[in-house]
Amino acid sequence: MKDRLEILSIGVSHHTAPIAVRERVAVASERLEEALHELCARPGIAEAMIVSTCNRLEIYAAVRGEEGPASARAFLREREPGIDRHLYENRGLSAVRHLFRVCASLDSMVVGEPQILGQVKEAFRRAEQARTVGRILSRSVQRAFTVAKRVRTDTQIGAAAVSVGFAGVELARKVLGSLQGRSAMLVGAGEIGTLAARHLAGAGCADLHVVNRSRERAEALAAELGATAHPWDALFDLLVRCDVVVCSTSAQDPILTRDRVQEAMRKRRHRPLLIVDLAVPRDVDPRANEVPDVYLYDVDDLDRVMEENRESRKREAALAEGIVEREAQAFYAALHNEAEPLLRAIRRQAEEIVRQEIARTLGREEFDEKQRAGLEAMARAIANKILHLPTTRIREAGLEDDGALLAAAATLFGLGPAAAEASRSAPAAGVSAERPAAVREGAATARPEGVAARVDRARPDRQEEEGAAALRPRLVYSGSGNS
Amino acid sequence: MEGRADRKGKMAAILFHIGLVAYGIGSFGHLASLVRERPGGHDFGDRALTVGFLFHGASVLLRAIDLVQGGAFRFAEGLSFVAFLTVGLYLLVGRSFRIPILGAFVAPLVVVILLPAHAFPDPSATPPPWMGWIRPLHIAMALSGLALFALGFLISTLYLLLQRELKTKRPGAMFRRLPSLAQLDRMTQQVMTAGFVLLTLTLLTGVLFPVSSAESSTLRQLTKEAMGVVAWGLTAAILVLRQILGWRGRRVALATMMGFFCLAIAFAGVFVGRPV
Repeated sequence: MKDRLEILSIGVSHHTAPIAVRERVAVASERLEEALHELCARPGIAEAMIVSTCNRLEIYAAVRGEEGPASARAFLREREPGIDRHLYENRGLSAVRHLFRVCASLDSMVVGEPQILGQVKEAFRRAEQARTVGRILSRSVQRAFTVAKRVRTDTQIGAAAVSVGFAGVELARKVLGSLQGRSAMLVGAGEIGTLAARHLAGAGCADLHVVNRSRERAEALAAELGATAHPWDALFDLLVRCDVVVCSTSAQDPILTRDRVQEAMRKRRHRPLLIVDLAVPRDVDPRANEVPDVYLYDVDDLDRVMEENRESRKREAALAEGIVEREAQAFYAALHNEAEPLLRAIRRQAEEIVRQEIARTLGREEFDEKQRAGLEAMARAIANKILHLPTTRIREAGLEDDGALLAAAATLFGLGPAAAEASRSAPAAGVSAERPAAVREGAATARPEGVAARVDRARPDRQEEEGAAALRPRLVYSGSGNS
Repeated sequence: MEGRADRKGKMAAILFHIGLVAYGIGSFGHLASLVRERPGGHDFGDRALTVGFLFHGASVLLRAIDLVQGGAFRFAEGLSFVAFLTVGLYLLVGRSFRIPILGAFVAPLVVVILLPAHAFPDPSATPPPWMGWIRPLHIAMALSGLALFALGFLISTLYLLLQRELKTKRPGAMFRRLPSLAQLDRMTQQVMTAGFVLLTLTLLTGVLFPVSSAESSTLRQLTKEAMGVVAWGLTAAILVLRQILGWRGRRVALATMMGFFCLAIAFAGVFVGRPV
């Protein structure tokens, strides 16, 4: 019997390999399609997707037996001969779990950062364009996107900023709300200050001002940021006008004293003011924070904010891991659930009966649109209610490897095991961890690797499909009577 | 006739107590959600508050019918009306502000307001003579204004809590769960503007029409009028400072809270123990 297709993830990441290795194995965007075709041309690999970012190079593939993983390893070894000691490899459920964790940003350098999901989406899009993804990878990746979205919705994993630039923007938003139409001033031309100003501009703060002792430097920086350059004397006037002030000069003494800030606040009529002091030594007298409605944050304060945020992300990550684990188990069990083709065939058969009966009844009588819609809805509701319990039991039987019950169900519904084209191509119903408890429990303990053999014993006449057709579910049913 | 009034009173009391229990459950849901930082609890809390609001509303309606027919208006009922309007405002308007955490402050406040009404139902007060529709209208506006000020008080409290976290540079639950200071400030302004309009109309109806019975004590009357005028003046000053002079921040939040206290004193000073 030929090995069935299994999902594989293999690669290197910031956890296992230094940047020198990662940059050697990275696949350039313009070479991605070529690399995908090269991978799929190797023995044992039926589908492939490559995720190549600054922190990881991972191959996700649908592979067969030992040949597929060996081919993927060989592909990576050709790029970096000494890669073996940095490689990690996951198969089956572990590969699904890894994919879900990556998309949910649980495997990222900064846990909870949102970019990775976009990067995987882009990798999937490119693989689709190259036609190197099929049923297994498509379903797995799409499900991974849904799980990532759920993690974002159900936990606060991405809520807190963990870089100086984002922390500055987060604070500004917490004080001022939307930054659209707000004004900000950058005092000095320090690198980190410039970075923070760039983040503010990116967050919508369009009215940017640069003040520097060197007018030339101020103008150069203003041109770079799309800001307005001002002479040093304008500092106080801008303090009254702007809502956010970012300081990063190399001055040895404070350039903004408490009294100066207090005076500015009186002129501002106590409109809240956020001052982010990124300079060391500090540019702003720390006592300025005592002035009502002034929020002064220096480098240490920002670091404390980020530390608390990192801790908060860790707590949220634990919750997210739980969601990912449940979803991965449920999905993997469904991916290899031998009952799915039978369920699809039963549903299709019921739909066909409903369709025929509606056509027959509506052909005989005069009905208006409303009555027609009501009749159709009622017929479908009856069919669904009748099928609900049997389909739940069949799904459980699939998860519990009960091949005898599956065969009996197929006989009872009049569905023979002959290969039916429609069954092969129909997509499986979405399966989530939010299913009935019995199904979830079954999913948690299912060992799909053993399912095939046990079902085979129950149904010795089953034929194994060859080549790419083997991507499809292995049990296929076609209606034999009613349709 | 008396038996019918009795039955109506008993029914109102039962509905009131069911509402109070639902508010208590809502408070628990909101507070648990606040402590555990899980947004789902707020939805549960809001559902419980909605149930409480419906039962409480039915009880308030029965009492309002009684009041319109010339019944006595007592402290306990005043509290009940204010609590009802506060929950209503939160459910109808406050939720559009998208601050689920507000429920964790509204729900317990409402329970605290309603507990004296539960403990001292004061059923034996003598009804004042019927003085026309202007009296219930005057009372409805005063209580609605007070409910708006209560909401403004709660939003200002949230403002100060968030401000404290920002000042001490230790972002906690408020930092994560509340909108920005600017947004809280805007909400307070909207609520206070509406409250000011109602308070102005209340004062005008109080000055232009006789809404109190002759038996009302002069001292109580004076307290009510003085505190009402102080609250009106304070609110007018806040609105002028905000709208015309552009004042913002902590002092405005504190002044808003002061405005609520003045109105609460005016309310308590007049209603305690006797009808208007």
